[in-house]
Amino acid sequence: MKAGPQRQCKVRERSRVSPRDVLALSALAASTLVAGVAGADPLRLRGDALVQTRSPAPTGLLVLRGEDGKRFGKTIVDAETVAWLGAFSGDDASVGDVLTLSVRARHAPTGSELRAGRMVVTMGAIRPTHVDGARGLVRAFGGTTLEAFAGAPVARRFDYRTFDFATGGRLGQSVGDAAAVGVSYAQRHNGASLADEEVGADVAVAPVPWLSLAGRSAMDLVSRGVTDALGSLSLTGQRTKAELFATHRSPGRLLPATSLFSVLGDYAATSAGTTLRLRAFPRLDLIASGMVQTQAKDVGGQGSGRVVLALDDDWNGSILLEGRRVTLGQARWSGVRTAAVIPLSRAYRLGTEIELVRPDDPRGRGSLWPWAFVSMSRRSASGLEFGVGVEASSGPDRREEVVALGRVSVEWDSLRGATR
Amino acid sequence: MRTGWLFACLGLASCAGLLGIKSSDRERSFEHRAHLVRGVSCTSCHLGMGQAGDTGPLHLPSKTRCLECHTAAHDPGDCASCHGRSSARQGAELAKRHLVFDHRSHIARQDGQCVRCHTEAGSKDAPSLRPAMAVCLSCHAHKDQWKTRECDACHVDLPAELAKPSSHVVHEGDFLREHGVRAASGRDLCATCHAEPFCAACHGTTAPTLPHRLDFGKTTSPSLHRAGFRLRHADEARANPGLCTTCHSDERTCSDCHAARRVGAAPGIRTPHPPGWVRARGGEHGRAARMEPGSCAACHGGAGEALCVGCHKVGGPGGNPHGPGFGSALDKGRDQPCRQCHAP
Repeated sequence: MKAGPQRQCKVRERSRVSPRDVLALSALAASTLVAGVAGADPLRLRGDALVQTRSPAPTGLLVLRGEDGKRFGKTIVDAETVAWLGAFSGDDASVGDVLTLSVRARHAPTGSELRAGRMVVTMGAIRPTHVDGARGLVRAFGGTTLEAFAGAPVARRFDYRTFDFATGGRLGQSVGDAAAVGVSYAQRHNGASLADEEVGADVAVAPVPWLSLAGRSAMDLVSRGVTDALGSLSLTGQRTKAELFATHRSPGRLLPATSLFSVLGDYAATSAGTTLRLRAFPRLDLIASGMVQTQAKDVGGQGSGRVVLALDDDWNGSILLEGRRVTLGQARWSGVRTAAVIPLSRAYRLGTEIELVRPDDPRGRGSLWPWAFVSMSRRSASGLEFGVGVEASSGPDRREEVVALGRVSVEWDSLRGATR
Repeated sequence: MRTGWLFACLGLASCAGLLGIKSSDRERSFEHRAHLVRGVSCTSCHLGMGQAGDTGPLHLPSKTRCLECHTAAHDPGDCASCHGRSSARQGAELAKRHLVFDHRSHIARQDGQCVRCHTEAGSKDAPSLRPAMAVCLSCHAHKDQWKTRECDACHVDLPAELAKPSSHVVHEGDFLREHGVRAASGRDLCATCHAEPFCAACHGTTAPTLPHRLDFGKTTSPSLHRAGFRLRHADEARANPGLCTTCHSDERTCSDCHAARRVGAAPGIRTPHPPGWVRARGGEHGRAARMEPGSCAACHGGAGEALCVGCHKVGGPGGNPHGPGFGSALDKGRDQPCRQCHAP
């Protein structure tokens, strides 16, 4: 950015990471705690809570997030946690578990960052890894990215397994917004035994706005072969979008090499297909998708069609109708789904969804699996959101089931001086 | 024949509003163009806009201001209830909240020529006069900020703004499948709008349930686990070999949930396998295990593997479990799981 006298705007200058930035990590917890008295500082907090009356005991999800944008100079610090919580049921202990709990410091001028805690690491073509550890990212020379992570694979409730660890990294290079390529590597040890060793490559190219290509592939170095690969080519027009895709996946190699099931050999599954989207009218979208799949001697496929009708010009409300057919090996079923989001006012929204699935071979699991859901949610300018819903179903494991859901979200932002 | 065409035309005409061909919206865009043509300057209605800073009122004209020229009011209601779209006003409110922008300095530099940025003011039925981001970039070169995704100099909180992307990152079609490879090579681009919990809500591997429910009010949004996924999850797994294992790599993902819900395939619960699953000459279990070993490992992984080794060992009735072309870099005499059978 050229910030001369004629073009002044609020842009941060580039600078090196200062010791103060390093201190940011350790200070985050304190900054979050004092949020209530720091009304003049640009601090943002958000909390979401979900509870559902799932049998045999209620469960819930809690998401908390805080971000401090300016307290630490050019470093933005944020913290977040996603926790799954459950009530006591019978003789079992509590079923709560922390999915993520981490703190990140991000140096805004360079985009480099450091995160520590429990997190899901996604890095290039290698598989997502759930670790208790640290992840760092450094950007340099305008388009080069170096990422690395290390830690212990997640064990429930902050327990740990001796000699378990995972480490990996990615080196990426982007050319403006037109292309990005990267190579990645990861290895996981299970009880000191090598459970996974993977190397991957990823590429995304968008030379012109109407064309984009993307692909990634990971190779298992323990049991040599392609673990997972995906390629996609998209053509986008003003009212249309077409995508051609192909995937290749080796289920045996996706398991840790320390699993006995990884010795069963390679029965890779390969699929190829297309998705077409057409905005037929300003308020009507038509989407069709189909693919052919093969695994060993099995040949099958999946196809779906979707129609979405908007209820207003801004697409605040919509009605959806979808049909799907699946045929591969023993998985043979047809399904139809309809859903609607209806804004009752600026604040209230009604949501409803019905699905019917008919398996070709019920095997005593019922010939039709109906599922229905209705919800009401409210959003206010004050930053408070809440919603309630009821789900009813009849499926393979339960003849009938009714579940109630409730959700509350609160957002607080000191930048604007009040909740919003 | 003519009657048929007549009904078809009538049907199409009635659908025109429904499909958005002819907007059924009673609101009309404000007649900015008509005012401009008559030489009415913007700031003569939007009083105080020349001094407007980053915060403060929107400076929309009041009815009193309108009546200074339009002396004969034709309706007792507020002018804005018919003239101008409510969505445009809401958009202006959101822009005020989410953008760092100062009209005062811009108007001074543009000599009061608002149309240079608000180019849509000259259109007859523009739904909104909010300038596109390209208009900002025509003067402000933000190349460095774009590279480092440092958007917060102008966007107060981009993830909270829920701004729709305008370039090739538009999430149309079946973006759910595409998103993985896009995120793999452009993670920082994704992070511009999507915060970490957005990913963690789906990719938490120890979660024995469906966190997408956190957005249960958005029933028409796409999601991998949408609608009655739990009812059909076994069939979904068979139809997409290996897909579940890609994220749910924890061997207890399935067994924990089944145990908690007292359904089949959990320790102490009746077997979920159909009759004839294991027979003297193999049965169905061998084929199923080769096609989707992850589903077997979900219950029989870890110490439960002893069940398999009981038959599938050298000289055992199950014979050699290795598939055709099997190879491994592991040391069969030392590493797990080889040594379960191959240990001397």
